[in-house]
Amino acid sequence: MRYLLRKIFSNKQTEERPHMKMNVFSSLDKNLEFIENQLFHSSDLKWRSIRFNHLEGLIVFFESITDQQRIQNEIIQPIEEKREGNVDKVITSLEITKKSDLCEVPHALIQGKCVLLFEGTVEVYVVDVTAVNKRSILEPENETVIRGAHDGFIEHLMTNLFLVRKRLMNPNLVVRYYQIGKATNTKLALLYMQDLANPDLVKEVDHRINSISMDTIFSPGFIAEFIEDNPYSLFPQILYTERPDRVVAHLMEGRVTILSDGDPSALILPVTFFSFYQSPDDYHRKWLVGSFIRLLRLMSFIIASIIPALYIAIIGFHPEILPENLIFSVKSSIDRVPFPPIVEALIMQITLEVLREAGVRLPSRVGQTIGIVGGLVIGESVVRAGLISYPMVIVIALTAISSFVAPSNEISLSTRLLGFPLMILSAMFGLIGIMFGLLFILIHLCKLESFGTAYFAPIMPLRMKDLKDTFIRFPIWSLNQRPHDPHPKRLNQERNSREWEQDDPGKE
Amino acid sequence: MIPEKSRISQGQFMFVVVQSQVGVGILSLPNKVQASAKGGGWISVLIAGLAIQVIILILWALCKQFPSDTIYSFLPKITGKYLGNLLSFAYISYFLLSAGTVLAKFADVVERWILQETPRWALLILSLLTCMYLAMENLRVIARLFVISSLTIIVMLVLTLMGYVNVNFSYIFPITEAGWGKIVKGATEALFPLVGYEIILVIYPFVEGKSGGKLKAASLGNMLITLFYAFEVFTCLIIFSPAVMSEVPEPLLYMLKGFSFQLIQRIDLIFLSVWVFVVSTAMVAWIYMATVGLGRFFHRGEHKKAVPYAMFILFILAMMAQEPSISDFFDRMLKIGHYTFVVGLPLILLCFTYLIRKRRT
Repeated sequence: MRYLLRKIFSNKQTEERPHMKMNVFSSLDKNLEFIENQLFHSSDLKWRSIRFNHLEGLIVFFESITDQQRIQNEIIQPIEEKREGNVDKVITSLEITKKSDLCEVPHALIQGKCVLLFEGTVEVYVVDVTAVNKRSILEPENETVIRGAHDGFIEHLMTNLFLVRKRLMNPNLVVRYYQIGKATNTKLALLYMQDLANPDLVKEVDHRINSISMDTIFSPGFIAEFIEDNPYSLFPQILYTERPDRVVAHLMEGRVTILSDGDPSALILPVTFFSFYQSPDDYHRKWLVGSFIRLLRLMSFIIASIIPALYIAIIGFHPEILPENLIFSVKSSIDRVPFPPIVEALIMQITLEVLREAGVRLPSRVGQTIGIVGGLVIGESVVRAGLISYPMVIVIALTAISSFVAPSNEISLSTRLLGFPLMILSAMFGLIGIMFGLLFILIHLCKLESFGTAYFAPIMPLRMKDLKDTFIRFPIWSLNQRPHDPHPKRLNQERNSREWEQDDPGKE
Repeated sequence: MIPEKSRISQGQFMFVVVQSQVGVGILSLPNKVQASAKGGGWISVLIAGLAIQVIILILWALCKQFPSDTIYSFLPKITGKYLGNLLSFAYISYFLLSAGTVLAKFADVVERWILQETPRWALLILSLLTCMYLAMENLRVIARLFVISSLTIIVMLVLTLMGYVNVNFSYIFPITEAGWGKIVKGATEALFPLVGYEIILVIYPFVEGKSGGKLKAASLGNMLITLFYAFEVFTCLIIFSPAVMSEVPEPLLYMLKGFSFQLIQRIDLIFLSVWVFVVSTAMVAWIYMATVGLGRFFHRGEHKKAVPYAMFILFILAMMAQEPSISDFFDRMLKIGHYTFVVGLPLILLCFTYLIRKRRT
């Protein structure tokens, strides 16, 4: 019943543009006039007349998105030299197609192709001469590592695909193109491993991408919001990355990746909470060190989200939990402050967020100002003036630093937002409030599922084997199986790579 | 019959039983069993665990007859439509009353130990909202949380272990000081903190696998929790002398209050915070049991629609239980309810089904 109602009231009727077919005129002028009209006499539409096989001809192109050097070398030069022959054979471009429908021509032109028309011929030649303007491959600034590959994605889709394919020379790597956004015609690429990714997952992602019907798609953020399962959740469910090695690692775990033209970030899905705390760095270090650092990161998540709340609860409700001498030193600093701890914490936390946001916007030349204002004025003077207590400044500073430890910017923002409701709960109910808040968060994490994968796997539901690469990183030779959460087709990934230990020819 | 989304594995089933059994009772249990069984209190707990094992066996045998029905759908099959529905409502009220008492006792303890000045209604609303968020989910999500929150039991165990710094084993000797009769009487006291295994009646059809495995999982859960309780009681018995024991209503907390770390002085507060998890899960288990029934009768099987007004009922029950006389009355009702609905009635129903089967063949 509900389904029926939704069907009746939905306004998502597929509005197919009526496709008119229009044969190419035999007159050159008429053709040109038609194309110009279709493109509204845009100023960057250019044409040049040529002569071939004793016929008057025209090359039409957009000067803004075609490579004029290529038009010169691949079309005009051979035609001027040969003067006669078969057009297909004379032109040296890679991609030539013949079209007899004039209505397709404007569409080809805006994609960076150039069109050859001849007097009296009812076919046009469409030649691909798209210009490529791209920046060079640099290390992504917000995902730097100490060891490991230092290349990152750029705004050019083909380059990004190149970076992935070069690392993953495997015929099973499948790329599927999509064009979404009726007005912007943004090109997307869906990447997955045919022999690993779960077919249901691929089908679901394909289905969701196809149902996007917005006319402008600026960034992968749009796509993420359209396809994610729980849009009301605070936790990011899709991993953004600009690192090709990270993409490859996730592809090899059976996940899928979406790349979009015009943006350097790749979307990886489905991911678990713990993927946000894994970094390519972990696998370049010795496993003990890597494990230690990963534990540190997860601990920083806990610190960033609950330390301010815990401080408020202890100061406001249960100071007796602290040892006596500590209470005295903390209390002596707090007694001079006119506000209750929650107000103090909110003031400091919001100031911190403002500073952080300002730091992102400020040009680097004035960046020092932030250091002076933030470090000296806010940190020192606010205490001197008796507005905020020293312990509170320490707590907030600790929170800020811990929240930046997360290798993904999305999760670090979520973490800090998470702190606010916990602070309010702890100001109202003390430790019990924090506990209920944490319980609520845990329930929420239990509940989240993205693309059929439990978000808090492998803890909930518990799977012991996958814990090897969650809180700590076991040695790579012991990670015999892939993580189970994306339901890959093959689980085994490694077997006896250290076999040489057994067949060591008796060395004493 | 049972949708894929709410199926749970047998391991999860075990943790669901564990989490439904651990509840508010644990804090006052040592005091209560000691009153009648003296130094043999821990034996009382073990006896109670054994008794529960027998009850679990009965419940399992009953559920096994109807592998794809919850208690609400097999009751009418056995007793006929009208009586069956009437009994279902009795079960729903019993489950709701249990949830209400758990909530009320939780609020009492928190008010006594941590938040002396917070109004009771605020605390109730906070805990009910959190429970509601979980209870509205399908069983799989609930089971996932129950598995992870079982970690808190380990934390509680570790915290209790610290008590072994200064113990006096002579307090429990002679073990049979009170006599076996008194020890068994203590076991009836210990039965009530251990309730919650009734959840088998409701979630049995949701569990995957064969019936033998389900029995094993439920029994293992019960065994773990009995041992945990017995351990806690034993620890309290060797720490407090019999004379002191009768003076402290919540021995576990008093015991923890006595210890301190270098950095944390009040371990009882930490214990209570962890205990919040355990109580909430127990409460959710009761609420789930009740709302599955309500959902079946009023919302075509969607239990989540029944959760909000069930919460309202619980709120009122917990507010009423503020009066000691009313809370005593609730306790008595629960005892009667437990014996009738969890022990007596299933036994009768079981005999009944066997008779019906026999007559048919």
